[in-house]
This record gives sequence, structure tokens and C-alpha cells, in this order.
Amino acid sequence: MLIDDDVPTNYLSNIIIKDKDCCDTISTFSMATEAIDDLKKRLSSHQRLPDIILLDLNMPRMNGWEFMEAFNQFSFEKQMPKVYILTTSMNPDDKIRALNTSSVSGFHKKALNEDILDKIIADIESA
Amino acid sequence: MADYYHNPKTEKSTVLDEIWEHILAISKGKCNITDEMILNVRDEKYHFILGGLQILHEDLQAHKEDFVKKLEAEYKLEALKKESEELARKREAEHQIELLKKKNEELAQFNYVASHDLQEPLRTITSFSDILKRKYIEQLDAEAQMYLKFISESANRMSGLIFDLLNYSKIGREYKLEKIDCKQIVDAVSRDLDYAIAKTKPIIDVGDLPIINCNKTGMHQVFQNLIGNALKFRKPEETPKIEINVSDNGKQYLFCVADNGIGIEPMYKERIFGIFQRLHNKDKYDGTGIGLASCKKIIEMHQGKIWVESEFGIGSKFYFSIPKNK
Repeated sequence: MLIDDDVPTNYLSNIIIKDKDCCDTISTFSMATEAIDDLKKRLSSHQRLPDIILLDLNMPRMNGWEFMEAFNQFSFEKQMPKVYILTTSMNPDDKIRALNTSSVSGFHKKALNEDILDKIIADIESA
Repeated sequence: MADYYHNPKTEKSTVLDEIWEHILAISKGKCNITDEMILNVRDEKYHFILGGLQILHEDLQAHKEDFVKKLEAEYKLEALKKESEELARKREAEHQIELLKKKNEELAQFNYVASHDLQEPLRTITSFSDILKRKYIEQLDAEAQMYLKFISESANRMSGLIFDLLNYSKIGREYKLEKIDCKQIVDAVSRDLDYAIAKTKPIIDVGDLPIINCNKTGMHQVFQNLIGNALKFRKPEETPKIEINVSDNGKQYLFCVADNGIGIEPMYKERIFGIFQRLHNKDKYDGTGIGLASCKKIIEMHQGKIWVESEFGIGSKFYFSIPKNK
């Protein structure tokens, strides 16, 4: 699941992920609220949840941290999706906050490239 | 008299004590030097009292000089201290001015960097993606054309962001106050927005607006942003209504720009005034998210406040205050 308000960013992430051939379905959201609604729907209808969420921080309306607040309210029966923050934020507080949020698995600089994707995959496989 | 000193067995101390008490009493003003004392100055007791008083007086005189000297010294010291404090304050102020000057130079430098150094490579990106589009568009497949579109759109957006940031940083650089008729400002803003007004056909109701002491460019920007926002965030199916009013509580003017637009959820009431903060996606409403941040900066420069009261789905009321002494 990709969450970023910037359309070219989502487009690029799609290309990088497809090129790596590591993922069967990609759902893309340009509003975090819509992503929350989608997760809610999937949870209530017991549909498959995304394994990985790539989350932007600086977004209009619901920002990345507000998304995490809503996300942490969910009770995941099976496996909780792994959230990786992907941001251009140069604010060191964001990184510290990411490290201190247990439901956030990683913090990477935008934009997504093969290196970052490899790191994320390695992180998931080592867990 | 000799007895007191030469015969230790006389009650010397008692007599001396008595004389001392007497001297003390006179010096404290509890009793006076009597004629009897003066007439009988040869009497040993009175002789000693008057002598003692004389000594005391001379002593006091000597002390007075000391005292005055000490006072003078202390006063001088105090003055000196004040002077040096004044000097330190002055130096501190000069230091602050120096720092401010430096900061301003840095800002000017930043403006230069933003306007030139950043714009130039950006222009190159725009120019070459334009050429690529013009000359090679037929050789590119749909996918590549999409990439090219993203490149030029992003470059344009960045150019807009830099332009806005530059203008934002310029607010207050030349901050001149003058007496301005707000009605004229609103009229000028309406002319600036004539395209949007022709398109959206709003009902704009402008109350009696005062002549205020303000920065003309700044106040123009404030009204332009607030009225522009009221038009931009209108409800698609309704005629936009904008009311501009002012109330006067003696100390300040309180302006209100009210609309019947889409409104703002309470949780975003503060965030909208932050720089580059937006509530909507770019494809829905354009803009960089600097308008209200600029308004805030301008109003705060007038020592006023700006805030919004809004009902989501009903409309928004933007208030700003301008103190009268400004």
C-alpha cells in the first residue's frame, strides 16, 4: 500500500516495485484518510491486508503521524502490516518519532529506489 | 578633679558614668545645656560635660566629613556603575543590531540563492523537457510521455513554491505604514480577482470599512488571500456569498471575511495558517499553501491576530484584528 499525496511519487514507487517483481498487488492512495477507510473496510470484511505500507509524512489533511494514530487504533487479528515511512522531511524530530513508534518499522528518505526497496525487503525477511 | 584620677578609691566610675550619661542625654537632645552649667563651668562635673560635648561635637564634625566623603564616593560609584551598565546595554543593543544586520544579509543572500541559484537549474529542467516534448514526442511511448509530464509539472510546481517562499520571506522587509482606506483595498482586490469573480459570480457584501494605519501592500495581500480563498473553496452548487465587515471596540478594529464555502473541520483551524500547509490534494484545489501563512505574518506585523471560525460544510469566518495605535 502506497500513501503519498504526490502523484508522480506514487507513480515512481509503482515502477520501482514492479521492476523488482516483489509484490503481487499495489494499492495507491493520495489521501491518508482514504487509506484508513480502505484498511477499515478490509478488516471488517476479513479481506487480505497489505503486508507493507509505504507512508509519506507531509500530506494535506491527515498527515503521516495522524495516519499512524488512526492505524494504532486498529486491532489486527493476524499479522499487522509493516509501516515504512518514506519522506523528504529533514526534521530530525520525525526520525526520532519514527524510532519511538513501535508500529513503524523503518524510516527512509524519498524517493523510493532499488536500494531502499532492498533494505525494506531484507528487513522483512530478517524479522 | 585630681581625685578622680589620683585616688582610685573615690567613686570615680560613678561620677564619670554620671557625666557620660549627661553628655549622652544632651547629645541625644533629651536635655539641654543649662545656664547653670555654663555659669559653673569651673565646677569639675560641668567642665567635663561641656568638654565632653565639645569633643563629641568635633568628633561628629570629623565624622561628618568622613560621612560626606563616603557618601560622595558611593554616589560616584553608583553613577559609575549605572554608566557602565548603560554602556553594556548599549553594547548589547549594538551587538543585536549587528546580528540583525547579519541575519538580514543572510536573508538577502538566501533570496539571491532562491531566486537565481535555485531557479536556474529548474529553468534548465523545464526548458529541456519542453524541447524533448516538442522534438521527440512522437518517438516516445505513452509511458515515457507520462514521465515527461511529471518532470515538467514538478519543475513548474517547484518554481511556484520558490516564488511563493521568496515573497513570503520578503513580507515586512520594507514595512511602511500609511493611512489607507480599506474600501479602496477591497475594490482593488476585486479588480485583481476579476477573472475568478466573472467565473464564480459571487455576491460580495462589503460593509463600512475604516481608514486605517497599515502597510498597503500587506493589507492588499491579506484581503486578496481571504477573498480569493472564499471564491476558491466555494460549494460547487451554490452561489458564493462573501461578507466583509468590521467592528470597532475603541482599541482595535476587528475585520471579518465570511463565506458560505465548504468550511474547515475544527482540527485544522490552526494548521491552515502554517507555511505550505494544505488541506486538499493538488488535483482538487491548486495552490502552494502559503496564502494564509502570509496573512498571518502580515497581520502579526501589524501587532494583530488572525483566526478562523468555521462550520464544516456551512462556511468560514476569518477574523483579524488591527490595533488602532499602529
